[in-house]
Amino acid sequence: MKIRLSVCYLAVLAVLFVPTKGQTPPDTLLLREVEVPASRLLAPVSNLPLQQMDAHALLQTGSRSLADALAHFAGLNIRDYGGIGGLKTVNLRSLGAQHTAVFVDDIPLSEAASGQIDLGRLTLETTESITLASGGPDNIFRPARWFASASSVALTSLSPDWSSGTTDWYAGIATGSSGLWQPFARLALKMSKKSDLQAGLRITKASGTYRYILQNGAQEPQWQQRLNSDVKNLAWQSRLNVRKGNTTLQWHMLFDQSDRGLPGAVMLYNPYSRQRLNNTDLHQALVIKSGKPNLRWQSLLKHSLMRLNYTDPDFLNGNGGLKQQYLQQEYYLSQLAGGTSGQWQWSASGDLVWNRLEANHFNRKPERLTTYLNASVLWKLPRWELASHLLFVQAFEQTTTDQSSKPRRAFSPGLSASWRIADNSHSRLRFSYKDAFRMPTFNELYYNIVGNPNLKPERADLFNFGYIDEIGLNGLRWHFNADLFYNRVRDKIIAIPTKNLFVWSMRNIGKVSVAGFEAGARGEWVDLVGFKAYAQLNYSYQHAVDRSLPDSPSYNHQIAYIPRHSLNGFLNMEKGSLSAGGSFFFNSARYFLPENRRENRLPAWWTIDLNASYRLNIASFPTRIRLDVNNILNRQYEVIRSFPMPGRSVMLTLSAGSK
Amino acid sequence: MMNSRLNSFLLVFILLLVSCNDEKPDPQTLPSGTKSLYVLNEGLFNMNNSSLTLFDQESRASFTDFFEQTNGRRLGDTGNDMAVYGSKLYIVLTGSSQVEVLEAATGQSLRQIPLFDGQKARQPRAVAFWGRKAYVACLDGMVVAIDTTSLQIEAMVRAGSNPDGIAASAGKLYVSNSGGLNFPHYDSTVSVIDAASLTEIRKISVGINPGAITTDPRGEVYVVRRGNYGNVPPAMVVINPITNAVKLEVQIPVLQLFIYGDTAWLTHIDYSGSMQSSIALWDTKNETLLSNQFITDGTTPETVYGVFADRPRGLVYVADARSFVNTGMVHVYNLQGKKQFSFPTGLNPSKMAAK
Repeated sequence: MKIRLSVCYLAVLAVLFVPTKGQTPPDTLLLREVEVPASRLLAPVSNLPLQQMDAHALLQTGSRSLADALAHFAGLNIRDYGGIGGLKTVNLRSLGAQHTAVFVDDIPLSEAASGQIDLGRLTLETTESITLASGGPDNIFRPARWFASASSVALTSLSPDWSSGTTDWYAGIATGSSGLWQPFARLALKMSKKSDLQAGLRITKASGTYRYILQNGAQEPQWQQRLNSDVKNLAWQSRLNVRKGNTTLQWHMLFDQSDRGLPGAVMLYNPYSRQRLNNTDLHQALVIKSGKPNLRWQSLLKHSLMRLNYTDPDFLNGNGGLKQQYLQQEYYLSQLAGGTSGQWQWSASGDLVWNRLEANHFNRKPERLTTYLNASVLWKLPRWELASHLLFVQAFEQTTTDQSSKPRRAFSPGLSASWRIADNSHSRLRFSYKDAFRMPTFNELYYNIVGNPNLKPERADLFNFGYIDEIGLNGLRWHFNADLFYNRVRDKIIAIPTKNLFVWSMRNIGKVSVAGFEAGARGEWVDLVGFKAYAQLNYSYQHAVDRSLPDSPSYNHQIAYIPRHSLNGFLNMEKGSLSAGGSFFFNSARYFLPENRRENRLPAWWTIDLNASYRLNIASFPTRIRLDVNNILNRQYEVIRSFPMPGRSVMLTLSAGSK
Repeated sequence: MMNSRLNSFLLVFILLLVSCNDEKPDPQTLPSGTKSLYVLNEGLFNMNNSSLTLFDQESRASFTDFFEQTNGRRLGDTGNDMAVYGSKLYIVLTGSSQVEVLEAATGQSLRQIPLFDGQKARQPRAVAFWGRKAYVACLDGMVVAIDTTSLQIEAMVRAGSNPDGIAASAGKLYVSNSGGLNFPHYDSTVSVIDAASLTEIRKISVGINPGAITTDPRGEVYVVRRGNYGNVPPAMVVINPITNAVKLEVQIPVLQLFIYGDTAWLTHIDYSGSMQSSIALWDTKNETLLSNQFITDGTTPETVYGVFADRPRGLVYVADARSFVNTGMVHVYNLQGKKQFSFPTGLNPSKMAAK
């Protein structure tokens, strides 16, 4: 037994450090593959609630951005302000957008001013898979920073396919409703045996306009046009790999530049908006990974520069409107060591992060130095898997005035276990607990008189108990999971509007209790009435209630924008070179204010998307034509109050090469 | 097995869809009585949920949203001021940038007056009346004169930066220039404008961030100077309308001020500390502080957002915005500051007017 396990670990490490593999798939997944002689798994098996979408699923669903892809996951709600340029953020299990960290390969996409990352801007040209993990990172060989967030979204880049020589490419163009033109390309070059380069580029240009129905009381519904919603965007991602022996050096670069109009809230009797937002973001990182079978290490140095300009010429100050400029910088240094020994895996990591924000309308320039120290262990037994980590965080802040936040420190533990119900099966029971927290954002602390430098970090406890299974039967593989969860958020940071519209203030007064249930099923048929079929269905129930003040009218009411029920699914069928499929999304009614009253209610919504694609070879290039019709029944709905969503839209995509 | 599971999932889905149809509001019977009070609910910015509550003083029943029920459409975004003049009720909507004029007796809309400079919203903030005109102060600095019969815009004049209030006395308009949107560079003046010729006569310096402005029965002009919510404390400033000079300045915690008869109700919320509301009473005739605490029975409105006194009936209506995101209330007190009863309103009740 012991020998077999060691062989497993060797195999794992060998796979992890084989030169052509730049990325590290979750270890548990690999171990299962070695232990159970079966085809690839439909979903990862983990102690933690973990969901994954691979390249195949991304292609089938036609996901063009991270926000598109995450709509197919369970337990998360996307806050979508509508349209191509509309802000899209994710809220997993009612914890709030700032509790979900986003990583592209090893690079954290941090945002220190608002704490929110616009997922609509993240492209998937070079993405192999997306993993959403709740209650800790997807595997224990992660830097300390990954352990701080309640949940993480990790994008893993494609490993180029060198089977046809030293280049691997993919290119195409999408066009459709809202004046969309979107050329995209991916190119991988093998420069020598020891080095390769992969880059993805996407350019988006759109008017972004769409029609929506304005319903004002009992008046006849009126068709209106969303205006000032144009988008211009350029997104670039690249990775250079250089290998020597057991060591890999990677240089990552992510660049995003965009200029967009903000159509603003639909305000009755006042339809005008001239607000604009433009940003230039550059993230660069140098990563060195090295390792021997029982010991490996990783060093990372990252720098981010993010510039954001917001203008509103209609803002009634004396300077011809609002012109806000933000400049954010981050330096991130991380050192990770890890290894395996017998039934044990361990990792230890120390991270140092320095953030700085300059804004022309802030009267102080906040800087923050955060230290993260983490140790984790995983104990793998034939039937049991136990994992635990302990994170220590310390943050120091200084500003150019005497009003700075006090140093904050926290210990944050996590624990998880799973138990395989029977040998030679994938059925497992799992349990996890995590203490999570988030630091207040710079806006919450220092935004002029709105900010409150006395804010404490927001804390959350996450519990999950679930069952997971995967079986293969007569040409059908299916994966099933069911999880019960309970989250408790305390010291939640809440904005309280105060006298007149310009004065709000931030306080640590919120308490939220979230009890929920999540179930997902995925099936893959080799032959379903002559088709190769793939289907997925996710359901989640969330009872997310306000527990802040017992005498408040919203006490025990469902918190704003969280539906009780959400459901999504997709089905894709393939035969020969033809592939067709559809997705549906459903959210039950939500409230846009804390009180669950009729006048605060946003009705339930559902939409159906359909797609068809055809593959052919043009001049020996594999070529693909795809047609997407989103919201085919032209349903009118709002995810955020006063921000109508697009109705039916059409997109045609032409692409060639290997994705 | 998969199929039957899939079917049951689909069934659940369909059931959810069926059970999640839109609720329709219950039809309400509106009061026919004439002794009623209008309460303007500000709502929240960008949410189009400003509303009008009609309170029937005989049955003590309140109806929100009276405006939508009467006119079949919504009032709009961020209603900041409301007043009855003659037979008409004027509602000033900052977000929607409109003045909504209703027939006071029925609540029927007579005219919506859009206030835009091309496509730029002027964002009207407050209204005052003199002669046959309504004067609307807008955040873009303009004071717009509207004929109260034709309800047409007649002329406009520039005051200072971001006017937050307007009052009329002795043929002159007094506009408090807050400069709030130029934070931290607040304005500190009150513009004096001749109502007939619509020309600015002078600017009176009253200290930073003037807001609420109103008159007493003798025509003296009371201004709240809010300070900077930091090291410059708020104060009440009194202007003599004959000399247009500051005649009195009282350092007192005050955010809003309402005068009915010879009494001024000075409301305050302690944002820097306890978040508690208080109401002080000032005698405008003898210029003395009557009381630091109007409420004498120990009841505590959460967030005092407006005051209206019905002196003949001996009742004082105190609007309570509570947490600003939950349904508001109006608490009704007698003149001795003892609570009589309360009724619910819409979101962020502020201004009140007798029907």
